[in-house]
Amino acid sequence: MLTQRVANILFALLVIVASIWFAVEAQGFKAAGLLASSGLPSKFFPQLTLGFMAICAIIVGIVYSRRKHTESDETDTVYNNATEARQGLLVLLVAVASYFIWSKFGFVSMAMVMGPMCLVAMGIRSIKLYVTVVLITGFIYAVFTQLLNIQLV
Amino acid sequence: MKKIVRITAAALAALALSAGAALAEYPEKPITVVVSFAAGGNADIVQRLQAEAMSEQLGVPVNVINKPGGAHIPATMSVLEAPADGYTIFNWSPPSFMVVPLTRDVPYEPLKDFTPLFASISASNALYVRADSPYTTFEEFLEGAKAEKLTMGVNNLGAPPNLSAVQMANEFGLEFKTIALKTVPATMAGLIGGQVDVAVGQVASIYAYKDEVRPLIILDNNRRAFFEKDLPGVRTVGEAFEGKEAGVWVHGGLAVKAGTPQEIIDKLLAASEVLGTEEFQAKLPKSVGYHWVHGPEGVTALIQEGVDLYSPILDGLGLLHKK
Amino acid sequence: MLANTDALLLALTQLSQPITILLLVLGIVIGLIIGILPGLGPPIAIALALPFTFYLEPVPSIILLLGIYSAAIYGGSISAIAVGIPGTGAAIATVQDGHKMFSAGRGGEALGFSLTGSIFGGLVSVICLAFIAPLLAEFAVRFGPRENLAISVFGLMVVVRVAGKSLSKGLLMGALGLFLTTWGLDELNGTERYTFGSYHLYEGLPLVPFLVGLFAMSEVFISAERAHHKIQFNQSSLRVKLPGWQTLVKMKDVLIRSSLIGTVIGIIPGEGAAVGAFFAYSEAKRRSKKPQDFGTGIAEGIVAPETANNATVGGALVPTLTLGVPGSPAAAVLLGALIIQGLSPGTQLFAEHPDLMYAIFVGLFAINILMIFIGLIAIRFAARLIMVPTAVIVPTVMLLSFVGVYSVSNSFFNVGVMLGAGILGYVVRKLGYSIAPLSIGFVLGPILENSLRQSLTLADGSVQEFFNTPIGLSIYAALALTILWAPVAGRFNRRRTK
Repeated sequence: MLTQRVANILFALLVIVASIWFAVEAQGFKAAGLLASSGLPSKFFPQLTLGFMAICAIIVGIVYSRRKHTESDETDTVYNNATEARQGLLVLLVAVASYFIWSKFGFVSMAMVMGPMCLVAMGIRSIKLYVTVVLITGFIYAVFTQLLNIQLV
Repeated sequence: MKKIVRITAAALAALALSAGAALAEYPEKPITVVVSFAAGGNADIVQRLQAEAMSEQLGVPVNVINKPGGAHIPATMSVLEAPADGYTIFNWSPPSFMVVPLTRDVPYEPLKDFTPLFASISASNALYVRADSPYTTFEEFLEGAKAEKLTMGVNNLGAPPNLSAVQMANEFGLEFKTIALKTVPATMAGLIGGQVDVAVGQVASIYAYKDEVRPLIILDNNRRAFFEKDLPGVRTVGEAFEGKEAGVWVHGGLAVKAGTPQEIIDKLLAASEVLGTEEFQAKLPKSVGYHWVHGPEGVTALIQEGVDLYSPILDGLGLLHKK
Repeated sequence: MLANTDALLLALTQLSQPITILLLVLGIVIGLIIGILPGLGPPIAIALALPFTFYLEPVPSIILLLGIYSAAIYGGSISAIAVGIPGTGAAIATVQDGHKMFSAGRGGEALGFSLTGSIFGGLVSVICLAFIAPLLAEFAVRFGPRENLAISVFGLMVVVRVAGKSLSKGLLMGALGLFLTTWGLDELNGTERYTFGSYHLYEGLPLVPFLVGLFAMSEVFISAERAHHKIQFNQSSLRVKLPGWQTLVKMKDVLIRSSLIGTVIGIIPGEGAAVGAFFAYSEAKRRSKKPQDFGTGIAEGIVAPETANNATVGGALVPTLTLGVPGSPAAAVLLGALIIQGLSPGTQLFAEHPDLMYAIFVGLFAINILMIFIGLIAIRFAARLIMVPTAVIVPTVMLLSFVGVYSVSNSFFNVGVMLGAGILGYVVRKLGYSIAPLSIGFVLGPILENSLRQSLTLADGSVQEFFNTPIGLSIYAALALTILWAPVAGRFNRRRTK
């Protein structure tokens, strides 16, 4: 399993690389007009926060890489077991898939499959729960479109 | 619990039906009006009053949706992304139809991509100082502003009050430290609180701050009907200084996406007729200026007037976006 | 404020109309429901009801909207505690201890604390509004870029206090939150920053979808991992318990301090309720004898933010009514409603319409009292949510979040932002980061950057001018004190015990 130590070092590295990339990107900001009134250019604040992020990430990385081979590092994992990892990540995938279904096929189709997909992702077998979730879906749709008068398309 | 099940079943049935509904006569479902300002400001509340009146005429709900921010571009584009079927209408305003397209690269052309229906809300700008300010006249203010760099309050950089301020600075050879305070009322409050020495607000801003501020001059060339009602006795730049320019163009109204079928446009025009009546205008808050122009031709001409006014001003300031 | 008996009587007559009383109850119910839904906070709730006020007199319409406003802020806390999802930004600070206490099987108690705190904060802020509104307005009008800068620098201290176990991790999240607010068009000069060629990003990352994603979606994914776990609770957790008199007396400091913090922060325009709640939380933590217990599900951790966020309602009304400058997005819509009624909120309103002012004060008072009873009914249901299986909660919350953030401005882009923020929130939470500093950075970012840059413009190169702000200087002084106090007091105590 992925340990917290490895995952955190990787994440810290990712933050450092991303900070550098975004900071370089900020060099290219061009003011649109001559309305610029402030002494500070647009790139100042993003670069300041990015620099701060990178420093924090370096500290986090060092802290984790120094803590070597104690008992807890090997047992302290990101996920407790494979089942939990699968359920969490599959539901995350369902959310992403629902986003694309909504954009391609409209809200109604998305709403009808989102609930059952979530239950499948979590490995639920009880039929009662499937029925409950579909009923709740209809209820939410009714509240938003009828009571709040919001167009869901 | 039984009740919930019944409602839910009905909703599911409605859900299935709505998917297969055939196209009937317009309008057969709620209409959405996109406002590119946050809820609560003048543009928004006038639009909500208008939506209510139009809804009575059309027989369907007219819902107002706010999409503020992003130089008004996301709101404008959201209307162009929707089909040209008259169910998504745009509340156009000086930034979305005038200042932003003139000053930056935008993915739309107001008069090509939209068919305007009417212009209604309007305003003019005025220069204010605190009521206890040493400047009692515009002339005294000019002297003061030349002697030291005063702090100027405007709502947003690039918005009409800011452009009025910049044009005044250019015409009279002044220099300011400009602070943007987000909204016109916030600008006036900033003036009262001493955040800024002088501020550009709207002519009608006077109603909320009567005893706290003093108008110095109206930043417009010519006198318009509502000036005397709001700021009696205050001169315009055009009246006071021969040859000095002070242009302002603040109008707003509704537009549909170009390509909307003519019969839908006609229906919307008929339904909006009521918004020009005395009866409707009497319902408007007094802080709102109203200048009614109905029909695509009239509004197109009005917008062209604004382009002709602002293009040279913006060009002179180096802000005009050259295509 | 001088007593004006005629105006007060007129206000009371108007308030006792059956239609006004009906609207008051209706407003509270609608506000509660909308506040509970993720994404749909007070501004949306008030905007939805706005068209109905066109046909009403000023007093009934403002009562309806105030009822919605107060109840929507409180409603956000119910979902924050019961499901771990702040229905509104105001409820973010409540999640930490509120939801922990709920999951520990003390749901009824947690909801009781939140209701009590909300009512207390609401009442104190109404009293402040009624008696010292002109004084508060005087204070509010002094807030410009330099003062806003001072208050947001102070706000950054909150990041440190909610940082969690590791300070560097907390600060990293705070900085990330600040950085993400720089996306979109630069408000001061229109420069495109990280728009990646998409005009959707011109407005930057929208606040509400970002926060809903960060909290609600990440919570959904984490809950999904434990879909088959049974939550342990006993029957007593289903029973709603309001804290007893003795408990309240013990917490009187927290209650009073949080009410005042909420009222004052509410005055400052911007995301008042969220900032106020975080301030109160971190202040309660700083003053506590056991600060390490905060975040584990303790009463003070619920009461402090809950009291403060409802106190911001009264605070936000101060600049709204006396200056015509809304103290919060919700107050902006309220302001619009007053303008539609033909009133001109500004320095003149109090003098011109004293009866309306009294109606607002008395009405708000009545709203807070009535909210106890309607709130009790609502939390009785909320406490039972612990019996709903996680497998049902996960898809329901996911759908509600999708629909909720879409409805904010009928924008599909919002849904994408929420999803992205959800994945970000999930990843960092799995790695042991706290999302509270990330959210507070995201709330403070715009005001911090803009006030810093505008302060520099005002200073025009002069350091003296930059610090030419009595209010700002006292805030900086308070900041220095809070940082230095702990070590100084620690040394002093040590010497005494020796």
